[in-house]
Amino acid sequence: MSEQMKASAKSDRVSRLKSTSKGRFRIFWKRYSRNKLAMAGLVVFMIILIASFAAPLIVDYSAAIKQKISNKFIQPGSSADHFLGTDQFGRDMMARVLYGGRISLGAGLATVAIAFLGGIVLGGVSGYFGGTVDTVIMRVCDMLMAIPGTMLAMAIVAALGAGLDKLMISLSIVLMPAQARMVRAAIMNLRNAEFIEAARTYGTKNARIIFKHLLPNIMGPLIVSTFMSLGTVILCIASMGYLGIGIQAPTPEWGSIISENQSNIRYYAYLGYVPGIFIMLSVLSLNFIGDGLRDALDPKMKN
Amino acid sequence: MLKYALKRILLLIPTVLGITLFIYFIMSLVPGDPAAMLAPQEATAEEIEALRVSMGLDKPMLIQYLRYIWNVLQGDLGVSWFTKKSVAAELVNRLPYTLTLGVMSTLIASIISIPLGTLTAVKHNTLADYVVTFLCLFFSAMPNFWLAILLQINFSLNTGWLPAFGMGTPAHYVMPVIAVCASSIASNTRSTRTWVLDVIRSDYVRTARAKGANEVTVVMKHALRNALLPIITGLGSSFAGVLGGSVVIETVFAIPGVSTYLTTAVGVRDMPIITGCIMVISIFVGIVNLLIDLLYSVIDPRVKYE
Repeated sequence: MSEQMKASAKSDRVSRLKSTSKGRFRIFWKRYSRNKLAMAGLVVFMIILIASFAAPLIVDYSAAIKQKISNKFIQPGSSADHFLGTDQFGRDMMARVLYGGRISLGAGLATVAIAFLGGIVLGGVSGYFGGTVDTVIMRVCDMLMAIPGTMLAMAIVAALGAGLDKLMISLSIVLMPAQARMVRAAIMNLRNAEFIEAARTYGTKNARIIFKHLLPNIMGPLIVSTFMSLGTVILCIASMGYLGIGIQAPTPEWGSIISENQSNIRYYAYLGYVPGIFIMLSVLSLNFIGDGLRDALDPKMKN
Repeated sequence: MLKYALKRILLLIPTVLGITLFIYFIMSLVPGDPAAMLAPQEATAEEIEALRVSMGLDKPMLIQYLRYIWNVLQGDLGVSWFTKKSVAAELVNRLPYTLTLGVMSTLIASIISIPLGTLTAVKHNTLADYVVTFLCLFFSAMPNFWLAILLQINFSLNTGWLPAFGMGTPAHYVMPVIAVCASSIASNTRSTRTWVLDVIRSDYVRTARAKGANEVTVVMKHALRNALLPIITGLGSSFAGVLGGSVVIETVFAIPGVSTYLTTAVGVRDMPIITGCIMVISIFVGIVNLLIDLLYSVIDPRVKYE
């Protein structure tokens, strides 16, 4: 098995030399789809993601917000209108979880995207130019990495003020240092490579060297680490929602759905299980996707 | 080694200064007047202005910051904007709970995860490996506050076995520690497995087997000992992770620690408390990281400090 994989990895490497970006994607997809767990993760995550963003087609937003006490605590499955039951205010749990997913997943994706771009810019500048710029950026990164991420995010949210956008900014500030460091290390490795030197000798501009020659070569591990952090970010947003930081009631968010039902979970267990399972399934599937991406994009990283 | 330790402790100073400056800087970017927020509804503009001066908020950000650092050097972390109570005194009361929770969780996490990770590496691709790896994935995907609530309901509210809230007896620590360290056990077990697997395929392990050393010696002396360095490094960062995790757990179990202090302060934007908490936490994380760095030479005699 391992011999065979080594051989296929080798032939991939050879054929990649003349491959187009389309061909490169096909090789990647072939490797990725071999991994059953990663495929399962991708399917589950896509279902949750699409269901959340297509929520208006499934249930009306008012079902998630409007209180109707006469409908309270309907058990899941006992009513055709309320597939996942209702909470203490008679709000439909399915509507709350799906609309909550828009915030949890949407904010998670946005946070990771901001951190991804910020990390590339900071790490790229730091690694490519070196010198004083590098020292300053890296010292700031060290400093930010010296405190637990959740606490730093909370402090930044407090300084910026409440709001989902502020929460996303603060979380991406927390993620950025690690990302920047990784980009920097990768670029420093490549900075003196022969093909970069060659590009420089025929007068290529710095920006073109960075975007055309350096970045495509470090994209693989970068995408992997970004996907790996997405699960953590979703957990972090849920924690913040649970603590009531960033997201205001009655807007549903997975963590805040758990905290508002906390006193009733003891008697109506589904109130805890429904949002909890949605968080777990999305984080778990993201972890599988991350593992699959790592194996597909960077066979050297596989243990 | 002492010189190295001293140097590292001195290096904590710029970190702490930088972190607090960063928070002051972000705060200064945001429009909005804390004095107006704090003043009573019927306060006149003059009264708000007087309040602003008394809080030192009329000065530029850098002056405010320097004044704050000057006070910190004298052991004064300021007073809460709302309750007017001393932040330093409150932190001294609250720190023992958070640190006990953090240290206990990190220790328990390492006691469980290192043997478990080694076991899964040795039993690579067997049923035991799959079961443990699956459990690790399961627990690392579980939100820790959700686990905490489930524990609280099942082991306390429904059965009465353990106290549900607060602090005091050792029994109070059981559920918070489990909730905090579950995810770090999961991630440390996985990384231990990776590192041991890495070593176990190396030539010197094969040589040790070839010369007829028994399996226990091979695993304990040759494989684990060489894999221990990165594993210990991982535990250091898990201390920071555990403290971060304790933010929610302290709220679930109503523990009067630093995290609950920080959480309530964030809700009302009580900046002196927030800066104080962050400063103290970053100092302790720095000290733990230093201790772990010093552990390196115990584990690996080749490590030299400069």
